[in-house]
Amino acid sequence: MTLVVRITRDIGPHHLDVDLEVATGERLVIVGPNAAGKTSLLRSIIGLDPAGDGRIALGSEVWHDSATGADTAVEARRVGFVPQHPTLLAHLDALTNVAYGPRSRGAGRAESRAIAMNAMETLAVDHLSGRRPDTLSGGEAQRVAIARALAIEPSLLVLDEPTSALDIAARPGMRALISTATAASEAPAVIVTHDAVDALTLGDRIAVLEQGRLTQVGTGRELAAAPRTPYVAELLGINLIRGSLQGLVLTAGAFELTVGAHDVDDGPAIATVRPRSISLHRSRPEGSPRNVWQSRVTSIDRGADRVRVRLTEPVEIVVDLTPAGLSAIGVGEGDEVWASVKASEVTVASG
Amino acid sequence: MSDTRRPSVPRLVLVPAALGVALFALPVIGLVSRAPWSDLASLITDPAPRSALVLSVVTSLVTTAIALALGVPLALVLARTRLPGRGVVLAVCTLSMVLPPVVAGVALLSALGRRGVIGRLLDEHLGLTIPFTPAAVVIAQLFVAMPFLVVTLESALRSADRAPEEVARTLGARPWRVLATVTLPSVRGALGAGAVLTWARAIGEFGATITFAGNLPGVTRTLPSETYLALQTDPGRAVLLSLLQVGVSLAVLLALRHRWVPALTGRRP
Repeated sequence: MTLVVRITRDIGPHHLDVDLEVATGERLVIVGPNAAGKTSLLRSIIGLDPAGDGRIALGSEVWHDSATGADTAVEARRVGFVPQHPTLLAHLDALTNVAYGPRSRGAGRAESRAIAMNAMETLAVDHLSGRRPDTLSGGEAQRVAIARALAIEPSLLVLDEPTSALDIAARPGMRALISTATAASEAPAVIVTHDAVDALTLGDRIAVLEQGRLTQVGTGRELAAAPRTPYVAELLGINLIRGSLQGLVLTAGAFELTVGAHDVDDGPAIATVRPRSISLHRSRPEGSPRNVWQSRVTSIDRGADRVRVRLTEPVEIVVDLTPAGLSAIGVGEGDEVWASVKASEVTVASG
Repeated sequence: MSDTRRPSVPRLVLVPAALGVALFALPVIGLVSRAPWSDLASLITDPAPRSALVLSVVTSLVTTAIALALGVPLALVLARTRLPGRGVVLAVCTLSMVLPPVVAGVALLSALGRRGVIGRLLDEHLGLTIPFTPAAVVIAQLFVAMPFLVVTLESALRSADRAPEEVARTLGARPWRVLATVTLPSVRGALGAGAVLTWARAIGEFGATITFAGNLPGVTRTLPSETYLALQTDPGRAVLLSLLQVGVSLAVLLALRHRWVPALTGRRP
């Protein structure tokens, strides 16, 4: 079932004006700066906010149509919604929280609990079933919240900033869990984030929302190849290396990269490295167990407080230095240079 | 002993604080010291105070039940809808908190008395007379006590996080289920505190009751009325009756303090 959203709505500072489709089983990531209207768009799709002019439909179900006045109530839309904060009901244990949806939709008590247990097992959180929300960590509560959304057998999954409340170390695990959750459901998924790694690893396509309008929609590769706005370029100012993962080593052609600790299965994978995490050297650096490779500077872009150095061989890499850092190394365009990055700075996700 | 160092207060603050405690404690000590304990036996066997006690307990509980039935919906409407003139409605509904109770009684008589605006219609068409009946006792108590529930609950509902209700709706819960399983549990502390405050105000109600419902033995003579009457003729008996009421109130507050009135004991729900 395809989600079709074609709406315009006044959201204060600007107008939300969106036209997008998400296919069965597809994951669409919506990124954008703060106050771009991401949350308003989500709330309109879910039915928590009015959708204004236009139409929202999932397959043959029309959820909102300003032309006919149709507007399906939130509880009838069957959206598996995972809010930014887990928002579990504090007076119920985890299993009862997950069973709340099936129970609300008319399933019996025992049946609801069986459905809930099944959803918790799918996400490997069944050991938390008897716990009260206030005894769960942020990550655990978030996992239970995702199980709760799955338990209603959603016709659409909506996740609002699923990793922003977690610390950096917990994010890769959450991304893996979201992959599991979306794979477990045929429903289209809409994921809002402003984390580039989330966008690149979770999104089949990325939609960029700026000041209420979609400025670019495409795959991560398409966006990175031809960013249409400064925001997109800035957002994707991140190195992405596709390759084949075996243990802690990602192989991309002749290039080998040692990655940080992870729980990603061997096989196709995406490694991401922040431009600031990479160091450049005039000669081969010695000591520390790092990724070290020789390359050539293809271009240097000087910003006010940052210099962006591009390297092409053996992989395309962007490195951010301070102006002082660049002059200390003393390299220019066309020069040979050694690059290094700690394995712990390389994040990997299944690809 | 707690390990954490508590935030300190200037020592001078202790003096007025102690005076405050004395203000509340001394009258109770006075009651205990002046009580003619030898008369206790005759008081217990006397049916008059017993019927007053029963009337007080029954009417105050009925009042609390009706206050919940009307006050919870009222607080919900005030807190959760964009009612035009919401401020005015809230002011009207809480006016009796700042009225002298005798004024409340006069107001009730003007509305529901036999010659009152509505009372006359009830009398002529239905043959119903409200004043000087147990129903009048309950109405007087409701008029002065229900605002405590409405105010407590309304402010809790307004400050409560709405996100859990929204999530419940996405999970398929209809409005009644959201109310019963999310909204009310989230304000259960305020609900308990409001109900206890309402009950306490109702069982202690005197001015509006005696004005609107009168002082008929066994019909509208509640414990406070019985106490006031005793004071005119037998002050020792009035002291014993007062102690009885202190005891009932204390027992209820102590019994409920942990489970139902966290807001009253400073505990978080």
